[in-house]
Order: sequence, then C-alpha cells, then structure tokens
Amino acid sequence: MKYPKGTSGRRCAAAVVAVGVVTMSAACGSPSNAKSADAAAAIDVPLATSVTTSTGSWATLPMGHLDDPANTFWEVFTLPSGGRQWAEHTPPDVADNGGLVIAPTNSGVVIGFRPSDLLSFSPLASTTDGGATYTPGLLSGGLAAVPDALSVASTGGGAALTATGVLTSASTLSGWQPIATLSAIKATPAGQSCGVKQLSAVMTTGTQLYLGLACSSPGVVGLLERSGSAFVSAGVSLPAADPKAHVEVLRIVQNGQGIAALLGLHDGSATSYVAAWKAASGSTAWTTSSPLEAAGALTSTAVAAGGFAVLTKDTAGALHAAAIAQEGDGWSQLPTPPAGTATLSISTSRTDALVVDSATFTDYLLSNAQWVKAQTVQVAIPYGSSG
Amino acid sequence: MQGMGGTLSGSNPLILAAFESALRHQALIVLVLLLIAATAWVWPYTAPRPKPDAGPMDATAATAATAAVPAMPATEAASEPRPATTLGEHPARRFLRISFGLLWIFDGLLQLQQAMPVGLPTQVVQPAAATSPSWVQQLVNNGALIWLRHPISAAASAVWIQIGIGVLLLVAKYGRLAQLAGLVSVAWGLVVWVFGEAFGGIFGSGLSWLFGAPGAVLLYAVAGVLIALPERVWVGQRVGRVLLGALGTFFIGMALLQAWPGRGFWQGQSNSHATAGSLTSMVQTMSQTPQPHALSSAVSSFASFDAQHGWSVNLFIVLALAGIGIALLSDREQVTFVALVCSSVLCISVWVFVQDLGFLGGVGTDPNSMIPTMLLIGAGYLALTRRPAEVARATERVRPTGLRAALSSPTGLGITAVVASLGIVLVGAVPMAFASVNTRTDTIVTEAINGQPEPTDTPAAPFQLTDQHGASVSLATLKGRTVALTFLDPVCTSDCPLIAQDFRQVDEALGPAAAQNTAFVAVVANPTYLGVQFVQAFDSQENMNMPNWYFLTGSLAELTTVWNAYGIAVQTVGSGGMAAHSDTTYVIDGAGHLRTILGADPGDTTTDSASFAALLNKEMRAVAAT
Repeated sequence: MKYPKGTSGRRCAAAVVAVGVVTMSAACGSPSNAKSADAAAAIDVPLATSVTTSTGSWATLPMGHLDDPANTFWEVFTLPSGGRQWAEHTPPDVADNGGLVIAPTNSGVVIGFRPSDLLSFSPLASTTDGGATYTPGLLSGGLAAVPDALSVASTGGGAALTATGVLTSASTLSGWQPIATLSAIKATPAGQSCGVKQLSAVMTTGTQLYLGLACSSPGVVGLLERSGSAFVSAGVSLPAADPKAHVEVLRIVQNGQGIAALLGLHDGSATSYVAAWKAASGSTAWTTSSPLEAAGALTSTAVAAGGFAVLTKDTAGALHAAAIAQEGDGWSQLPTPPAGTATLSISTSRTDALVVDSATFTDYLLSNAQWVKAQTVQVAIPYGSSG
Repeated sequence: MQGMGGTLSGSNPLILAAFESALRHQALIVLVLLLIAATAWVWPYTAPRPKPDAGPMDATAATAATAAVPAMPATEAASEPRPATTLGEHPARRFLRISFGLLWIFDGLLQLQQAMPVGLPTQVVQPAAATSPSWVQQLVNNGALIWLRHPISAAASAVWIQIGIGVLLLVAKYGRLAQLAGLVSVAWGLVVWVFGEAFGGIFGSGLSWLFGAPGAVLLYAVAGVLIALPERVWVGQRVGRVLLGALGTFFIGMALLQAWPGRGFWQGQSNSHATAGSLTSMVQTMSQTPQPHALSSAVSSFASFDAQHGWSVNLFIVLALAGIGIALLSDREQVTFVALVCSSVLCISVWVFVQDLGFLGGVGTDPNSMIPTMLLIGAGYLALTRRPAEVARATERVRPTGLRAALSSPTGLGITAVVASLGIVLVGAVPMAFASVNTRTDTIVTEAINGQPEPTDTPAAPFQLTDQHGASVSLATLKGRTVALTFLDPVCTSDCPLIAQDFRQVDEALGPAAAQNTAFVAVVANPTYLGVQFVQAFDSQENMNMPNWYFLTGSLAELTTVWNAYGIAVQTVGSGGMAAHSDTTYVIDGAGHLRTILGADPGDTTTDSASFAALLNKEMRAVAAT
C-alpha cells in the first residue's frame, strides 16, 4: 500500500527529530563518554594496599563476594619482619565492609574503619603486637576513601582526611580536631593554583603535615605542607612530565628523615606514575623518577620506606605490575602477576603478590623472575553479618 | 541476632497466610459481584411470557414485554424499515483490546506469587530505579514505602486491579464503555510505569531496547490510549500510519542508542577476568534466575555466544532495529508486512534469549516488553490494512422501558459486564487507595520477622551503669516509668541505628506529655567499643537527644553481668564482621516488672523497622495502661 504523498516527508522529519533526541540522551546518559570527556577526572586510588615498615608488612584486601557490598569484607594480613608466613589479623568487633585504612606507627599500625551502611564515623584500632590484640579508638568523622586517609607520627600525633577536611589529634586514638575544611584549602593560593578536586592523601611526621590533592589545573602538583596555620606548596615540580596532564598525589610516606610521594598523571587517555622524594623535611629540593607508563586502571598501590609498587589492569583484564625501590632508581617492570592479585607487597628482602578469591588468600613470592605460590590461607568470611 | 542478618522472605508463613487470607476475602467479594452480574443477566429471561388470552396491553407494557423476550434484543422489536449497515469494531482495535486484556489478566495472576508482598518492592521496584537519578529513586522509594507499610493489602489489591482491567478490556466492546476501559488501562499502566518500573529506566544509564526500554507497561498504556480513541478515528488508515510511524521512529532511535559507543554493548568478554559487556553481563545475570533448566541453558548459551562475539551480535541488533524501523516508515504494505514478520522473530528471540521470558524467578510481574511491542506492531499493521466489518443497524432506536427490559438489551448486558469488571477493579483499588493514605505501618512485618510479642510478668533484673552524659543510671531510678530496654552496638553499621530510630519514633508517637512517664534505655552490646565516647558518637550520629533516652555503658564485667541477666548473647565474629548480639527489646512497667519481650530485629528495610516501632508503641501503651 502506498501512502498519500507528503505523509512520508512528515514522518521522516519526525524520525529525524526523535533520533536527535535519542542522540542527545545517549550522549548525556553515557557515563563512559562523560568520563572520557573529562580529562580532569580524579584517579580512583583503590583501598587495597600494603605497607612495609621496620616491624613488618601489612596488607588490607577485599574478600568475600566482591559484587555484593554487604558481603565484601576487608581483611588485614600481616607478615612480621623476617617472617615467612602471612597471617590474618583483622581488628574485631566492627563491620569493615566500607574498607580499611592502615597507618604505620613506630611499633605497629593504627587501622581505621571507613564508614559503611548506617555508620558515619570511623572507629579506630591500634596494635603494637602484630595484630594479636587491638586497642579501640575513635575518629569523630568518617575517613575518606583513599589509602592514605590516616597517618600517625612517631610522636603519637595523628592526621586524618574526611570527606570535608583535615583533622589532627595529639594522641592518635581520640581528641580529633578539624584544622582545615576542603573549602578553606581550596581558597588558599596553593589550592587555587591547583584547582582542588579532592583531598587525596595526608601524612604527618609530628612536626610537619603534608597534604596531597587531586588538581584540575594541568601540570600542577598538589602536594602541600603546613606552614603555621596555612597550607603552602611543598615545591614539587615535574620538568619531564606532560604539561597538559592532571596530577594527583596518590600516596605520601615517610622516608627516613624525608618523605616520598607517588603521583598519578592523567592526560585524558593515558595514565603515568612518578615517584618524588625529598631528603629531609626541612629541605625544598625534590627529586623525581622518570614516568611509568601503565596500561589500564589502577588496581592497587603498595608502599615501603621510600619505594612504591603499582598494579594496573587493562581492558582485557590483564594485570601489569611495576615497582620502584628508592630514590635514584627507575621503575622496574615485574612479571605479570597471577590472576586475582589484589595488591603487591614490597620490601628489601621480598616481593609478594597477594591473591584473593572469595575466602581464599594466596601468597605468591617473586623468585627468579617468576611468581611462586608460597602460602594459602582460608578466611572465615562472616557472610550475612552486615545487614 | 544483630549482625546475623534477620531477613523476611516471601515464603514467611505469617506473611503467606495473611496474603492468602486477604486474597480469599477479596475473591469472595468478586464472587458476589459475579453472582449479582449473573443474576442481572438471567433475570430478564425468567419473566413470565404474556399469555395469549391476556387483555389488551398498553404500548409501554407491550414494548417491555417484547424487550424481555430472550434472544430478541429490544431494538429488533421495531423491525421496520429494514436496518441499514454500519461499521463494527475495527479489527486492529479488537486485536489490541483482547490481547492486552489477556496480558493484564496474566499480569494479575503473576501478582499471586507468594513473594510479591515483600519481594516486589525490594527485589523489583527499588533495583529498577538503582541507575536512575536521585529524584526518580526518591519517587520510586516513596511508592515502595507505601507498599511496604501495607504489604498484604497492596499485594492483594494489585491482583484484582490487573485482573479487573483485563476483564474490562475483554467485555467493553463498544462506545464509551470501551473508551473507559482504555482509559483505566492507561491510568494504571502509568502508575505501574512510574512507581513499578521507574519510568522504564529511561532516565537511568544502560538504557536499551533489549532490556525493556521504554518500559513494558508504557506499551500497555499506549495500547490503552489507542483503545480509548473514539471509533470514528479508527475509520481509515490514519491510526495505522501514525502508530507504525511512531514505532518505526522508535526502532531507529533504539538502533542509534544501541550503536552508541562507550555504553558497553559492542564488547563481549574476552576472558573470564575481563569486564563483561553490557549485554553479556545482563544475560549472564538472567541465566541465573530460578527457571526451568532448558531455558537456563539456552540463555546461558547465548551469554557465552555474546561473550565471544559481542561486537557482531550488537552489529546485527543495530542493523535489525534500524532495518525494521525504516521498513515501518516505508509507506508500503508489503514492506510493512516484512517488518512485522522480522520484528516478531527478533522480539521473540530477544524475549527468550535476553529477557528470559521476563516473568520467571518468583517476582516477575509481566512478560517484559517484547510481547507488547509485537502486539502494537501487529495492531498497526491491521489498522493499516483492514477495515471494520459492516454490521446491521436499526434505523430507529427503541429505548427499553423498565429495568428488566433494559438489562436484557445488548447495551444492558454490556453495561452489566462492564460494571462487574469495574467492581473487580474496585475490589483492588479501594484497599490500595486506603493503604496509600494510611501512614500507620502494619505490624505484620515485624511479627513475621520476630514472632509475636511474648507477655510475661517477672521482676526485671536490676542494673547500674553509666549513661551518655557520664551519669549513673539504675533500673531503680527509672521506677514509675514504662521502660523500653534494648541492647545496641554503638559502632554497628546496620540494625542498631534502625532500632534507635524506632525508639525515637515511638517517643514521638507517645508525645511530649508521656516523656516524664517513659524511658528509652539501651545498653552497649559490644565487647571492645564500649567507652562513653562511642556512645556519644552514636547518639550524635542518630540525633538521639530525647530527654528520656539513656544509652548505658560500663566496664566489660559490668556489661557482661547485665547481658547475662537479660539473656543477651554478645560475641566477636571476627574477619571483618561486627559484634553479634541478640536483638531483643523488653518493656518494663513502672513497678520494675518485665511485661513484654519483643524481638527487635528491624529486618532489611526501614519499613520493617517502622513496623517494629508500631508494635513497640502498641505494647508500651498497653503496659502503661495497666
């Protein structure tokens, strides 16, 4: 059947209009498109991490049913200095579905519970005996979702990041006081230069406080230090880096008398990583590594005194790992980590790939450029206990 | 036990029994309605025929008597002159009316599934809005809240509303009655589309024709609009052209959306560790729905195929949608017929292999969008190619006089059927309307989770602990007050904050005048986080600033004594789990006697919690009154 002339034209016009509407809605509703259009989007720094100190290595990893937040539990594994076996020592009596943050201390760690479900503040747990026992503490706010949201100085004082600002404490486990809000930091000259998107890391040495930022201004490194009651730039620059890249401070650790920072550079299509060191806290001289070009999304970071490891996952699901040991070194590519690796652990004596699969933890040790299975731990995941 | 996940399943015996009871009662009302309708139908045929030797009748009586004769409609009584012909119901409209009527009835029967009272809002409605903007989630959650406050009456009501609409569409064939049926279908369809399907996900991410966009029930509403059109509009091909044009445009739009890069439809899953594409991921999820093994295998096989050939599958779908869309816009009958056949094949394939029939799994509410899409295309084709049949029409309409005569006329029979159908709709709609304005939550939810309150009359164990302000509080200091006593973990992430809010709700419901005579007391139930600072942090988080609120703590030894005295088991779970403890609330009278023991597990939702608050309110009032 042939329709009268003229009808077809109107129908085509209607179709074109409708297609236009769909086009606009698709463009507006496509999250990945929106993400790629925003080159300034912050790098997601996963909470899965490990930290190695003089007392040993500590790792926090998500286990259980990772597609179900109420049945994802973050476990703490420890490896004593000089030890050979990892053991699960998750602090008890608080649901940790929201993730854990580990801050090393002189003699152990303080672990912070991130808010989850109906809990909006962060209980703390401190240990000095390798996780055998914990002492409870309290942060009056909720810890931010970055691995360096909590820091403890050798003198016992602490610093913490929340979604709204920075808190400090003289005694670590209680008495936290806000010292700066996010909006106040944005308003500082250093904050304005950076174009602060979010607070990304904090570190205190007791005498000095460092604050990491994710910046929206290209080429600006948002690593600030506290001067009096103000925050000023710590003076890191990246001469060899892409000036169009947006920089985010991913990690800050104490390195002897100085500090070390891991920076992420994102130019909209690729991400690279740079390590930066300052020899002493009073010094203004920084040295930086060459950039590490890494494919895919950041899956985990690991820190040791002055060194970092980075684990990424490409779109095909393949893992890639690299590490840098100390100031003056370059990045070294590690063999492809075993499938399911949640984080790496680096120390002067060994490098581990920590693999999780539901309730099973497996440690692979790097030996002769190969990952060798060293240990398996079954964890009694308390499924169904949260909610 | 707190920390051990008290949940309410659809097969809970109390919920199930109440649902069945409500359905039985409403079925009885429906049966009465049908009996009345049947009586109305039969009544005219039971009238005594006029005897041959009867005396002369007046004209009115004669007409009424004639009208009362079965099988002879009143209009036929005036048989002169010979009736002209008129156009009957258009085949396309009849097709829409009957097919969507049957669909509504099928959907109504699906609402009989036992999981509906608690499963529909939590497993279907709220997840449907998960990717939508916050205002859509808010709207949908409000609807879900109404349902969850009165799960039994809401679930039973939905059964009868949908069956009633289905029957109404089947029996209302002509004129304004058919239009009314169409409009009722539109109205309920839009309610379900907004509150049940979150606008079919059109405001959310991941919108795709394959997954049901723009919402199956919106297509029911479109069919309702078409049925509600005046009969004169159906004469000619205009309805068919407009409908096929709109569907063609829709298909092209959906093809474009399907082809849009960055939405995950062009990728399958290169290996088991790679992120699955949108279609692969959805089909994998669907294949895990409880269903017959053969269907699960078929869907799972397609998921594997799409994982390996995601790009090619999406290309085929994009081309098929675009081709069908262009064909529907083509203005040519033969091409339109080809589009009808192709779209039917595509729709059935998607219905089986992607949408997994839509209604399985225990909380399926309809067969999803593919069947209504096919029906609309079919109706468009019929509207374009068929004409209504000619039927005889009386040249002079003789109005029947008297109720009996009126009921026996075709119009009267139709009206009776429509009224009965509307009655079925009202059997559901009236309780649904009451439920939507009644803010008092049904206590059946908490009773289903925790059991009935347990009456008792024994002296309550004494305690002396420290409150959130550092002051000493004992049971003796609360003498003369009705006390609600429970055990809460101040760093708990789930139940305890809800229970605290329940206490708050009850305090507000009892009113300020009762504050002097009541006390809401919680004792810390965590063996590690038991300092006053944790209690204070909890109170600050929950805004527990009522003057009659006491959150008590002490040393572990002091707390353990109280836990043991009240039979509260507190244990460390470990490996990231919160401290587990019994969820129990005691109501203690002014003389210090335990009067009621209530399970206080608030379940999974805030509405379960509100149900507990309603029950605690009732029990505290009862204890205070004695």
